[in-house]
Amino acid sequence: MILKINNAKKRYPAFELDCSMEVHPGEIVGLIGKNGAGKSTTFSLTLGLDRLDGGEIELFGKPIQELDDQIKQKLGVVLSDSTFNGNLTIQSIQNILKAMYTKFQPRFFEEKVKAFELPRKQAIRTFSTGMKAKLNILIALSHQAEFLILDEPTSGLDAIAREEILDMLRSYMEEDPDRSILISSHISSDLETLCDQVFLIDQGKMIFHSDMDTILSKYGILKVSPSQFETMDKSYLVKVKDETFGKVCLVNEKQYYLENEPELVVENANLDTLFTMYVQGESK
Amino acid sequence: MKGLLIKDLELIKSQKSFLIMMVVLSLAMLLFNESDPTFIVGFLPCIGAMLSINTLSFDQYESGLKYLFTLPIDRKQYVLEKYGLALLLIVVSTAFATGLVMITSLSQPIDTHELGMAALSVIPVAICIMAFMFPVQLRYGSESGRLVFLIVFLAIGVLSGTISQLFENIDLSFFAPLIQSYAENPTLFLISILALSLLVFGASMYFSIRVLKKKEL
Repeated sequence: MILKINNAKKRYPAFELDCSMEVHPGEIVGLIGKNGAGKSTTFSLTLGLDRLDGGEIELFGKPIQELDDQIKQKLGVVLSDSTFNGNLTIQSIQNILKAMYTKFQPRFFEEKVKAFELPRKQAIRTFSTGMKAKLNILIALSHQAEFLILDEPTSGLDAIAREEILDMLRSYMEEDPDRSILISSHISSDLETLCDQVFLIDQGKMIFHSDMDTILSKYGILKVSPSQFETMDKSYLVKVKDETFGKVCLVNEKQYYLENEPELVVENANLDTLFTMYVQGESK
Repeated sequence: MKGLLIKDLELIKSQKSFLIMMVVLSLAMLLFNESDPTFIVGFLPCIGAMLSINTLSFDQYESGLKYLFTLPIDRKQYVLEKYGLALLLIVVSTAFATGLVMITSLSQPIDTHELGMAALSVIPVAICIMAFMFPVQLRYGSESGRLVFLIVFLAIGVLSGTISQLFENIDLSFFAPLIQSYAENPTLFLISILALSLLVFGASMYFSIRVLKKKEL
């Protein structure tokens, strides 16, 4: 197992994180939550940047308290709010990475810098949001990392730039089937086409976990009137949310309703609707 | 650690306008102030110490330390590199300042022994500046660190009267032979001060490692 988070706890005055999660070799795991849900805190704990108040985290089989240089050589990291100092240039960063990482690939780095049209000798504080995001991903990918930990790598980007970055990540995974990615985002649609598994986090707690295939094939949304809600089979009802027209229902066997209750309108669920229902809906 | 050193040297390089200004200012002081050419020998090594502390400010800016510790370095290496860099910058700036004075004094005689003693005597001062400022800035950050310094120096100023009265009442005759030997042999005094400053430096480094190991990023 690449990453194992077992009831990891972190207490702040207005917030408490308590989460569990696993990432296996070859998996892309997504962590979705709104701003302030605990995504970045989870990442900070995973990277040993903050201390655990309880529970355990293991990275490559080692407790996080024993995180050392050898393990960090295997990691590629993008943080949402932190990167190299803006006074550095790409040329400087290349020199730094070459000195720090035993498997740094200068040719790959230079080719991608050229392909992204990033200026080598300009201070990175002058870069646009998109340029910074591309550079951050490139840094994470440039030393044959076995595990990418990416906290909101596409935040603030337009759709085209986001797709370019997601393509880079797909290529990265294709090169070695044992590589893994843990990626967080509040843009669910980014993760839908990328992730094998998804965890939803809200107010510091994991509220949902499933693999993407199950979410897309089994979960559905029913929009029903009050009378329809009274008579419908509620066996597969997971969450319910009141609307002006009646109720919105999240079900985990949409095929059942398609076959047995054809009068009900069944829509495919996606990560956005799933997240909305789990955060705002109520259990049956 | 090599990567950290390269990073810091690149950050210092990015301040080349400031460095050029310091060199020009030093040259101007040498050429237009004939009364004390050794002034810059005291000035530039302190700038060297401050440059190393500045690299910490750069790292702390916009939570940059957080990202740095996702790279393959640990907290002890980070502190060791900073202190090593400080020593390097202090020695290099002292040598540079001394060289500048000697070059600009070619046209007039200068007491090289006095110059050498001035150069060597400022190294412990620069080391102590680094030793006191670095752990404070590491612990409290750039902004709060400046406030802490202000409070400490104000407190020293306020208490200095009390401290000097205290020393007047203490019998220091026990130290008379030591004071006598220092007066007769300034080199011995210099070596003692250097050794003491390196002890302070080492203690500061130990303390900084402890501060950083406990710090949540």
